[in-house]
Amino acid sequence: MKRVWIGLLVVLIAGCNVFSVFNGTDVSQENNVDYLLGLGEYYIQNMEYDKAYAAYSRAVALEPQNAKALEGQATAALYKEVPFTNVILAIVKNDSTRISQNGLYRAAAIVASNMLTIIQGKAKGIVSNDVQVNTVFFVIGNLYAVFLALDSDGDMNVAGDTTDLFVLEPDFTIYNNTTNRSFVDLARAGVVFQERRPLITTMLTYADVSLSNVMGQLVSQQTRDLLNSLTLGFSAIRSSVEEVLAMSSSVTNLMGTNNPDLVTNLIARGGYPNTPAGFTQMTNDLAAAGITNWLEVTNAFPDLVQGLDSISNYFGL
Amino acid sequence: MKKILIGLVILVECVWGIEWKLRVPTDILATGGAGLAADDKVGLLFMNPAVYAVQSERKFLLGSLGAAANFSLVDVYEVYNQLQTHGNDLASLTPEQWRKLSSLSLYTSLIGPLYLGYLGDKIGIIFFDDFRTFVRQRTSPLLPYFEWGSYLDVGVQMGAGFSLPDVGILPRQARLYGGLSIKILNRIEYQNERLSVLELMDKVNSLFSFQDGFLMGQALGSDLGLFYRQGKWGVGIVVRDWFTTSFQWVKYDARFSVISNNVGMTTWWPSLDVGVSYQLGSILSRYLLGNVVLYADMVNITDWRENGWLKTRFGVEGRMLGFLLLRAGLYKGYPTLGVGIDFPLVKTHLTYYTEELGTIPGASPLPIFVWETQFQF
Repeated sequence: MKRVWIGLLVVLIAGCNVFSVFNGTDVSQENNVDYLLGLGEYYIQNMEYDKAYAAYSRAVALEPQNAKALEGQATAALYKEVPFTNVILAIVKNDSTRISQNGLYRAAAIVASNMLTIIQGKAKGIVSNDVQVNTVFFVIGNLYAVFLALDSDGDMNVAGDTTDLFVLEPDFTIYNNTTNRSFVDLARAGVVFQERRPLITTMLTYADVSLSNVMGQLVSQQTRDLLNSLTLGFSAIRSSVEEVLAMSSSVTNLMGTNNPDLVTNLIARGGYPNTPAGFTQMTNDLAAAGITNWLEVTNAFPDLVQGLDSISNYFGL
Repeated sequence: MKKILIGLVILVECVWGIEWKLRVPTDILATGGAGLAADDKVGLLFMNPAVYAVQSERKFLLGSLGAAANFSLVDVYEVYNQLQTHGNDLASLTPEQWRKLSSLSLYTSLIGPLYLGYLGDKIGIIFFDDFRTFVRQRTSPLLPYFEWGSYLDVGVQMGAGFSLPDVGILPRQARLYGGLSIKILNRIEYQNERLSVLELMDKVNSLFSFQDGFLMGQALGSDLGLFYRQGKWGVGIVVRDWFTTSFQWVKYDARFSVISNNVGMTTWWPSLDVGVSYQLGSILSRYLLGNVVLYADMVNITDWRENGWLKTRFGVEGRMLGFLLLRAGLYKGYPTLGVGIDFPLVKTHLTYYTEELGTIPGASPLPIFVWETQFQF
């Protein structure tokens, strides 16, 4: 009898809803967007982020322009990859290893994309200058630009990935890994940068727009000053992304030299013999890295065109 | 006709928001919010005007004092206690405690003191005021934001009930009553569905620059009711806001200077509520547990957007020792409990219930305690 009373008390105090047992439905078969949004909120409340993500994703699939669905999907995506409690513990225990860097990268892609849709006025239900959405985009958009810049091999892995030109350490510091890299590594990075440059630029441009949107709606100087001080840290992040973008615009920049002839030294560093067979070996390696013709490399590195003769000579072609 | 219907649907879409209607009376909340077919509560003044017709006693309402607050203080205390016993180490908090902190909400309400009125002779009239405010934390990527709603209602509700002529198809012992009430409301409200942390700080910092505004509007509305009684059974049907109740808002700043005369309109659309009651009588003895009545309501039936489970209300009330009223129920799926103390001049109600702020059961519960003392004779 005592247990019955305790059970009743727990139900009362916890505010349990007796009808919530009917909430669990197969979201893939559900077509009511309002219900899916409610379900997503219910799962978020209960920290069931996978289920919340499924519910919101279904809502987004049904109504791609529903701002609340986009925001919900972004929220679930973030906390699915980086649980809310891990973020808190990482901060309070000063232990960034609790945050999955690749998880954050994957989530940032969804959060940034969804928030951008709202900021660009392409979604309905939340105004494009909404302070919350713009604040989130300012942070995540910048972060996503950093991840895109770091992931030079385009494998969606940035956590200590030594094949990247810049390596992200577990404590979120970055070290330059461009020295002693092979020509194939640089070519691959160049092609990836070339593909990603418009997206990175969009992220940075709209991060500026979002900051301006937020700042324009703050009334008190005190709050504006606070926001200014908070955004200072992002100036450094932004500078580093812009540096990477500038550096990746030419192969000679990445080599740290302006002499295109020295590209042959880079090829030699990769261990390719200076024979036609060496050239075949290198093109096979380029193909394995996803580059099937030289045009992709020369599009990524326009300055390389001047060094093509040097490469031909090197291989005796 | 088709165009009119489409137009109405679009209008409903536009006004769908977090606007709260009038507060459900404290004694009715304790019985799970069910009371459309109740005929012996003061709270029925706000429920079904047809029930005015069956009031045998005259009641003069002299005032009311009450307050309500939500249950998050217990969560905060739990976290505080955990931190105290673990050397203020935030890492000692469990995921469940973090979850509670991340979904903390605030609800406060002041009831009265205006509660003047009369009930009897088939009429009812009441002048009342209510203040409610809630702040709900919403999860978003990175930082939470807040949903804020504050309402100050001052109004008068008056109505009359009357016997309807016998209808041939009804049993001879059955009685059918009708009723009509009119409400005149003045509402002051502040609403913000998406208040970010930065905006909240900004509002606090700029409080004395009086730039932020609130809305004030007046509305005239009316409810129609039917009450059917046969033996121990009662059935109530109410068409609330049958010709719509609309507030035309004027925006004021904190010094009551008009900022804008045209900031939109809020409309309460007609809704259909149905309830039944059954008088179970005494279970133990008249003094131990007597006058037990069961209630069940279904509200807002015609609104297809609202989750069906959230429209349900179930309740039971019994009297103990002649003056103590014990109440329990299920309000939108959440358990409710209440105690009423019924003295000749003073009626006190204590109610625990949970408000659902989300759109499906269990999405965003807000457990609330309400106390209200009414003075009447």
